[in-house]
Amino acid sequence: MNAPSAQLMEKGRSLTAAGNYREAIDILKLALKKDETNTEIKTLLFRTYALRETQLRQKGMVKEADVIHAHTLSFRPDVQALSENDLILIMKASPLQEALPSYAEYISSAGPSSEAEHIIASRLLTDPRWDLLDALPDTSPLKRDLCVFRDALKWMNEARWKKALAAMRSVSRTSPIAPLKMLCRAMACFYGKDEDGMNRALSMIPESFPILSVFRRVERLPQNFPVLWEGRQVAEDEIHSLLSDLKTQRLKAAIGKIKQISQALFPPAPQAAVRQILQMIMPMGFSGILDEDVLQELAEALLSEADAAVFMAQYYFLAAEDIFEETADYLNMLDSEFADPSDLRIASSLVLTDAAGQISKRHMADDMYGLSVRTLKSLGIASKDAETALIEMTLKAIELDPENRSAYDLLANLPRSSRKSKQLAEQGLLRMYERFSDDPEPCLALSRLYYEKNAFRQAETMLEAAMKRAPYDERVREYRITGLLHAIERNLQRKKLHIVKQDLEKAVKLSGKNTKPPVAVKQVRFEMEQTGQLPLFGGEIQTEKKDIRSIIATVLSPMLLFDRLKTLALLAAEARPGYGPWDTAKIRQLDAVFRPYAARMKELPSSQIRRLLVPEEDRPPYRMKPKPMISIFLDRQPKILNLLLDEDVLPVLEAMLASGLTKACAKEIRRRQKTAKKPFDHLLAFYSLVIRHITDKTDRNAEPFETIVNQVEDRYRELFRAASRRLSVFAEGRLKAALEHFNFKLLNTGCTCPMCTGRAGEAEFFDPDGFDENGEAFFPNIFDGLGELPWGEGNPLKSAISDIEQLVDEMGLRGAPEKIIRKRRRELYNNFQIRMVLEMFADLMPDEMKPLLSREARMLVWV
Amino acid sequence: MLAHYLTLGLEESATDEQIRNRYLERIKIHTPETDAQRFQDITQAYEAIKNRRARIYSRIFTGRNTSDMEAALLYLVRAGRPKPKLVGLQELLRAPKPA
Repeated sequence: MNAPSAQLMEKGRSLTAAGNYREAIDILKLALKKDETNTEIKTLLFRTYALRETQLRQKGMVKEADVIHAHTLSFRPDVQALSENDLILIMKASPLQEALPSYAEYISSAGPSSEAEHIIASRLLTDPRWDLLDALPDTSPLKRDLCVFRDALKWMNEARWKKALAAMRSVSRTSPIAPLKMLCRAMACFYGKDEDGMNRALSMIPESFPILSVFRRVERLPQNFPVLWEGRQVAEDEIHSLLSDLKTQRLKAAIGKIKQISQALFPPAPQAAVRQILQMIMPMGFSGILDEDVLQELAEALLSEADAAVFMAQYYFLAAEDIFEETADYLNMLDSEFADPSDLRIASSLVLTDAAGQISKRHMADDMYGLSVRTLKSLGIASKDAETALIEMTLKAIELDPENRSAYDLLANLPRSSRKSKQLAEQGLLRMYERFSDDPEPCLALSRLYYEKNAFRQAETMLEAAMKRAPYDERVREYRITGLLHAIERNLQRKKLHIVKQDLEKAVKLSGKNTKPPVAVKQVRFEMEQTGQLPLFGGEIQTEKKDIRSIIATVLSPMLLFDRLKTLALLAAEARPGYGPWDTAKIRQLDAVFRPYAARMKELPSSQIRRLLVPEEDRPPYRMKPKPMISIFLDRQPKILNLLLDEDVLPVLEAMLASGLTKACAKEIRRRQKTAKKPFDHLLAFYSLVIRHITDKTDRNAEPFETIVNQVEDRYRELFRAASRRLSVFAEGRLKAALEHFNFKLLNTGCTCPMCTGRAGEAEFFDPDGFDENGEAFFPNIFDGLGELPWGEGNPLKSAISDIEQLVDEMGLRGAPEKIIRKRRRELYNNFQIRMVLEMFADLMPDEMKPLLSREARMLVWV
Repeated sequence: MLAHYLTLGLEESATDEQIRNRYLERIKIHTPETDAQRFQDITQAYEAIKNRRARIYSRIFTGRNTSDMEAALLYLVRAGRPKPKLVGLQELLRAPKPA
């Protein structure tokens, strides 16, 4: 208090600098009292009051700020003494009508201030008092750009940013309204989806342009600026959070999130987004993460009753468990999803096709037994036979939508062993043939069918039709050639050599990479049979039969080594005394030609040698049994296996097992084990162990298998699993089961159920004639492996009824609604052992005893 | 289904021709080199709704054909990008700014 005014002034200055304006004002007032004429103190007071006023206005304390404003003005120095900062303080603190005269005075002495001009321009955006600008001298840059400013502002207010930008074309970079031009550019870029351009323009708005500088500071504009969008952008985190809620069964939270997300995604119709989200989370139900009841709860909370019912029907159809019934149920609800009748027909057709495909793929056709007439009718099924039923379903799909290509493709590949099913398939395929008149596929499908029926002429007619439709299609050519080879063989046996000649000429012309050798075999056969009167391709007529060696040499001459060897092997495979033209002498001559070629096999790469030893099995139009190629080559080249790399040897080893060459196979494995590298060292050990088990040279035990498998790196595990499955075909009993399931503990179990004894695929698991009178032996054996189910005494079927009823009680299904029982049944039937037992029980139970079972038990056993 | 229409910026009543034209327009802008993700989204959307049969198929089988739920939902989110709203200067200045 007693300090001199200079000291007080300095204290006041430092308090102001520190932002402590109230205290600074008190100190400076004291200083002024001590030195009333000190203009520096007055100027300091003015600045401090102005800063205090600004501070109060920023806090929203307008009345207090207005009071301070009066003091600010009272201490305002003369314009000549005003610094630019002082001017800015005045302008920031004062309304436009006060600020402008101050600025006008300032300009006349000090010249224009760009910051002050920015402040004025910024104020005019929200308060366009153009009249006030008359106070400004013509030296004010803002006044020069006034017309442009007024025009541009009009367009900006109307959201016509491009027009505003065009209006400001002449505005220079130093103009006080240049920041507005940048804003117009930014907005034009935003609507033109040029985010980079927008950000560049925004970055050029200076801090001194008060309102607009806010935009520059907004991070990631415009995503964070909701006013620019209809609706809001959903963040990825919201999706992760939703999935987490679903996985942890926090349903209420999940429902809330789905609603919010849907509203944001599609404000005009959020329900469409809800349906889409629910469809996308269906896999959680399929995989069991979400229980079906939970999914239903979600659907009922988020959709209307009718939509929820359709959604669940669609879900059950796609889940494909009780596939017949669920398909029928969904078909019956499709009209609520597809109002247009032709859309409905297409949809129904797709549903039927998919269902038939799933049933066929998963071998579920037998599930149709016990279905209601209504269900069967919905599915287009009239037949009681499962195989025919699938074809009927597919035909119904075709009838509903004759353009449904997938239905035809399915029809072509469905199993058809009975006359009726072949007839039905033929009907459908003939429709396909008529409808897709440029497509060779129906011709090929029909040819396969006709070959199955031994209708060779019709088959060949179809193959010719396929050739006409697609003469350059490699697959069609192969089919045609195979058909020709078939006809050639028939006519060779019937000695109709003139027909053979015609077909052979066609086959030779058509033959390609895979078909040269079998065609060549027929050429050799033909030349052996004919006396030279029927030269191929109009060649010279011979007067006598040619020597077989020269025949073979002529036929092989245009071929590469691989094809020559294949041809010779095919000839050797068919050459047996008494078959066609073959006799002992000719067979010896063939062998004499073959052996030198066999010796040249070392010229071929390992992969080609493998292909010779293990040729393709599938050859259209029908599957052929593999010829024993491996024996043919091994007889002539015993060391052939040495030429194979480890990666090519596995299929060869399997072919050796299939051909009964078990000892040779084991010997080869032992030889290779000395030098094999990973993973083949373990694989070969595995094969060796399997062979020893197959040939009973070792005790059945899981340990050695597990020892090998446990040494295998994870990345090779699938290789082992696949090999194990392939080797299971050579095994029986527990070994078969263990190899099929890649679970070697089964070797040690005492269980006698089908899975554990490898008899799961057998149609006749149980022989009723072998059923012992006591009956106890049967059920205890069956339930033995299950553990949890008890077994009874007395009449075996009555005791089984008692067991089933006990199962119903233990599962808590007594009095349960049908839906729940069906659901529990599905779960139960996922256990293969239980399924086998219950299906067996269902088969054995005579109709007159069925009423002895409760409603719940009947539903559990028979659906 | 909605996701596909949103990706192509079309109404559900769009014709096959409109769908195809929009697809061709968009892949010219969003090429595999400049915006691989968007290109993939646009192509996926087109394949799903390019004709009546495809649309019906998508409506029925989306649930089963969704192998990666997270990816599918994020696709929907990308598709559901909000549309820009035309705003004038005064509305822009009055709108609350993020902190």
